[in-house]
Amino acid sequence: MDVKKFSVSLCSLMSVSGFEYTEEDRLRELVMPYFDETESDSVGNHIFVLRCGKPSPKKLFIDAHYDEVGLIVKGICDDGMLRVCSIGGVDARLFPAADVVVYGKKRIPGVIAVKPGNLYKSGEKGKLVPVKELLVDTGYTKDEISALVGIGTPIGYAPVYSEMGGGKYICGKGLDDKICASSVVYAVSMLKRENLGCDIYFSMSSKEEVGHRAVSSAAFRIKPDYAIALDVTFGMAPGGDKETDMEMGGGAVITHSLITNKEFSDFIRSTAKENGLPFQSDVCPVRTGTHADDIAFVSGGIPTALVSIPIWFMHTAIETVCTDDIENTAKLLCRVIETKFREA
Amino acid sequence: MKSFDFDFLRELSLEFGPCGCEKAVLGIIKNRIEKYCDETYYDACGNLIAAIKGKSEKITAFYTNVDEAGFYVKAIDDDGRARISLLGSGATEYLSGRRVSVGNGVKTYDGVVAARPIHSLSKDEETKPTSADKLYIELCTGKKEETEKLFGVGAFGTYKSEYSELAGRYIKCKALDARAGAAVMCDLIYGIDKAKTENGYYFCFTVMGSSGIRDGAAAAAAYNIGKCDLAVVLGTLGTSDLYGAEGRDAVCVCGEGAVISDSDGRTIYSAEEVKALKEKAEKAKIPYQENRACAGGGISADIQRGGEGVRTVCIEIPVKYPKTASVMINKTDCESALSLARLYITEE
Repeated sequence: MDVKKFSVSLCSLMSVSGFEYTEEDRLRELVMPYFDETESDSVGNHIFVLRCGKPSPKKLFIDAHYDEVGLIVKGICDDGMLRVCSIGGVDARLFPAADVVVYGKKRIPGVIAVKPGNLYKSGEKGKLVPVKELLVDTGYTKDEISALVGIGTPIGYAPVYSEMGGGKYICGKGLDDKICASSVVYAVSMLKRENLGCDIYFSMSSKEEVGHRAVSSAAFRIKPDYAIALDVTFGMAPGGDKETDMEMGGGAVITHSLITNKEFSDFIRSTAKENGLPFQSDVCPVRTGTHADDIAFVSGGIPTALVSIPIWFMHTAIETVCTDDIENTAKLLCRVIETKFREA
Repeated sequence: MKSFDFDFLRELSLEFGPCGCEKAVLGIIKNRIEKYCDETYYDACGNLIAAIKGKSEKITAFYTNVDEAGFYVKAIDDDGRARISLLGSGATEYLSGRRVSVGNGVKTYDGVVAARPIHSLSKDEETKPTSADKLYIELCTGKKEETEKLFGVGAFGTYKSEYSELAGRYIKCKALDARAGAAVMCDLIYGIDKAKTENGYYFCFTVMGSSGIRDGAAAAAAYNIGKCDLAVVLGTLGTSDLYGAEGRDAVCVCGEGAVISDSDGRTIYSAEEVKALKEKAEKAKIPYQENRACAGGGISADIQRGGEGVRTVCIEIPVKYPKTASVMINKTDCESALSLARLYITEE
């Protein structure tokens, strides 16, 4: 599996929170070659199952959220411009003249309008146009765009990807958190069936960016024996927090937290050491801000570990990840799955 | 007559050509027009000048500047990141989160203008553009020495973006505001049969137009070609026809034809030439519009007042979002500008 190519295909899918069904056929086409079964639950999670074929196997739940931040149409102006509001935490600094796609009756390319300086009222100079006042320009007139787009139509960053650092880094929209999903699929692709001692339930969960709304339902229904939540975490960069930000290319980040299960997390760390795979550790005392928080106490409690991949420029159209981290995280997951459940 | 060549504008706009580093763009233009001209050369400032000689002494000079918004690399951090200074009238608020190319024009490298994650911004930071001193280019080299293998301090940079069509009506790309005039001028050159023309023509593709330097490279070009009867400046004008702006506030409107300015921020154009152009446009049924706010002001002033002075008119294509990675132009306005410019090569 060409993990870079796969990552770009996966991340470029439209999955703005609440609209994760938009390209589900394409999602299944990409992921199903590596799994046995797939199901979509009542809250929008896409779940892929890999069976070990052994009697009464343990269940391992792996989560990587599938949704991404975006915008939604709240009105159409007389000049055809779309008025919008945000879905999840988007950044107004990055919007002037940003390329977007409006997912109406067809994919419509658009540009976020720049407010010309002469139209600023006093007190607005030097300030950004807040997201709630942004306009999206598709070039269509009101009548034309009204036939293609309605109130509630989602808008996402344009899916454009590039490589940097001699191909070591990939950059584009939707890496949070589909890059982790990509790493999971890569791990599963490397698994040897004969070494598989558990059933894997891989949930590409919905609605994380708008307040972790869906994953607990999947965990509740599946009642796994163990869970691994994967998400992105802040990569070290100028202006960041030197104590808590993680090294890009430094390997998977395994979190210490009251939320995460110490024994399972330590097992993952020792597996990394035994296999010579790089890893890092961070501390999120009582809340991790990830889906681990939502899985750990569901259904009587699920021993949960949190594994993260460092990312730069989170929630932008230029999210950047080191491909070494995608690959090493996948290798670690593969080894953890093969060793943790073999004797079980 | 051939209609406006959008494929060529696409090629020009995608090329790397920030203010002060226009060689690659001018190279494309030179290749394109050389065989249609009697002479093409670069002057001492780097302007590309082409001439079609006529039999009479009447000479019309066309001007357009070709440089796009960009920046200089002013320092390279120990971790390989590039710190930047804006060139001329670019704006920092359009840079955050954009893909960029950095290099010397011959070879360029991809990077991104970094943006701290929204999760770590203070309330105050969320409402303001990132200040220029905090902007940096991430190139993912990891080390100063690695970045220095690619380029050094003094390298140029500009946006990297895609060319696309919107609504079948608009084109969108970086640098359209800097190259639309050049595309018009190249199309114009096709239309002149150099063996038959009575009049003489100069075509000046000027550099550093967006630098804000007054009486700069364009003035030098005007001096270098010498006395002309008329200067026709081809360019673009930013519209403010957004957010419900009306009348004067809108400046001009995309889709209503090229703009013939009576005056702009720096120039009062030759009244009789402006009047004559408008009359000809009306007679030929070519749509045009006025510059409602006397806004803008590019290289015209440098040309009008360069040397002993020349009667000057200006034909501008309205653009949305100038100086950004996603400039938008209504295609019909390009056709209008080309038709208007052709009025000056139609010999009666």
